[in-house]
Amino acid sequence: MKFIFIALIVLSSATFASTDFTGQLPSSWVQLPEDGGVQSGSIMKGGQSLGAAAEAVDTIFSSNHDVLKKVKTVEKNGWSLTGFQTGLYISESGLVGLATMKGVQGIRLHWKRYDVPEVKETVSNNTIPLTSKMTSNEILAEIGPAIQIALKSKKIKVKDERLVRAGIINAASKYQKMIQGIESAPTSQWFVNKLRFDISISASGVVVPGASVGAAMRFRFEWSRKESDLVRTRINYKTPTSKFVAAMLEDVEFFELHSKGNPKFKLTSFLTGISLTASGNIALVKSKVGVAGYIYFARRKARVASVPAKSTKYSYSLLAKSTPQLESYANRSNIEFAKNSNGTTLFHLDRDNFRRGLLKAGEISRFFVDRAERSQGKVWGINIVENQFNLSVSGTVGVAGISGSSVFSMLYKRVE
Amino acid sequence: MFKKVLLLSLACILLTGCKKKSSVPYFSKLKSGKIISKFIPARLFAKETSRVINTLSASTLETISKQKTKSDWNLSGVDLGLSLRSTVGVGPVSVGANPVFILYFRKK
Repeated sequence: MKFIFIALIVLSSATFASTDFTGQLPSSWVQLPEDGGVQSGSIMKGGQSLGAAAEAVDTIFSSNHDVLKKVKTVEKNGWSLTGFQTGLYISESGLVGLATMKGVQGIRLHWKRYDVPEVKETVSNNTIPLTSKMTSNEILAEIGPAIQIALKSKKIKVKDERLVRAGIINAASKYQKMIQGIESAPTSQWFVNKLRFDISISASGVVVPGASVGAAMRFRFEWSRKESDLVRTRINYKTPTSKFVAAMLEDVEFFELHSKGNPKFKLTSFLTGISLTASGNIALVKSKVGVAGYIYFARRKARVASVPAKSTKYSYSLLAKSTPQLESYANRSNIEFAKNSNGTTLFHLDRDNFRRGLLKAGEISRFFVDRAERSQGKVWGINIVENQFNLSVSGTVGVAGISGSSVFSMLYKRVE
Repeated sequence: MFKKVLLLSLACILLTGCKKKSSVPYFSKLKSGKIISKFIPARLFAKETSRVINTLSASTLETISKQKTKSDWNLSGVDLGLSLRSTVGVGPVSVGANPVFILYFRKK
């Protein structure tokens, strides 16, 4: 009897250690409905507690802070250590932690030093500027030298290099059309401030939009504008790009109206991976496979009274790699889809579910932002919390898992 | 005997409770591809990581502060990635080479 009692106590202590010790996020936060997760709607299962997960996240954030508190902040000839980026990984089952392996960070934290003035970043890394008005010659002038080097070094082997140049101009012109669409798209309290996209060239000289796996060369183009660049232009609601942008602005306004944020952190920008369909429309993407680029939305600092005209009938498309499982789920859930010849499928997203997905993303973000708010010191503090998500064919979202990919990010910045 | 074991068990519960709050979880990948979750004492993590960051920071600042300013290119920022590395099954984590920490050095 005594033995059984002792065994029970020892067993209960071990169980206590293993359940609470490894704080787990709700599986519905990580698993998408097509992977067996919960359908969009409420993100918490009945009676589920986040206490242990919150403790695990707090431990990681505070241990990061403990590291920074021990770091010497010396200055040498004007140079100093001004910032840090740390991250948090989330397993497919919802466990949180750091990682000794390569993987996707579900949450990224940007730490800022409060005792030195913030240094404004002026140059984007490794990108080629592109505008809607650049001519073919101007584009080729930017990338010509790199192509010449690739051809001479036999990295790219082609019979006629003119075909490579023509392929690049053809891909770039599609993006230029998109930029034109953005420039004539409506704006609200939010606007599109950046478009970043890749063009890849295979070893045999085939030009493909996007970052192709195994490409011999990749060019990263970027178009950007500041809030001060926004001028009164004639808004054209008819282009595929402006319809997409108008719908996104409308949805983020819906999100702001219905979500509860942390007063000390504000959603300042969000970005989503996109692809171009054969018909020239913009599609959202389910994973990095098929991503042609990223579209960035930013909040205007100036208060804007007017809101854009509504385009509620617009519905998004989501591009995903074709799999029997996805199609089977779509059939069961009455989700319309069309298969492409290149091994991808376009799913028709339910707009209401997408909005519910945004609210879910907001709730998940709030959990991490609330924890980040506590990790503020005199010298170092978390300035930006970047939450990374996956998109579901049902329209909802899941936080990016360590072995998954992230195609949708929400950035919360600390209010000064 | 019974009392001793009972006390020992209670101490065990208390110790695991303390350990929970002072250990940092992390993921490692086994050769089989399986991802496992492990822990490192938070104090050790903070001590070792800050030690490596301070060493790297000092040597980085030493190098970049000596750069020549009379050139067409003016270096204005350096980003340095640090990663955690561990031997699966034994020992603490040490800072080595997948970026878990990125350090930003900037010039005024």
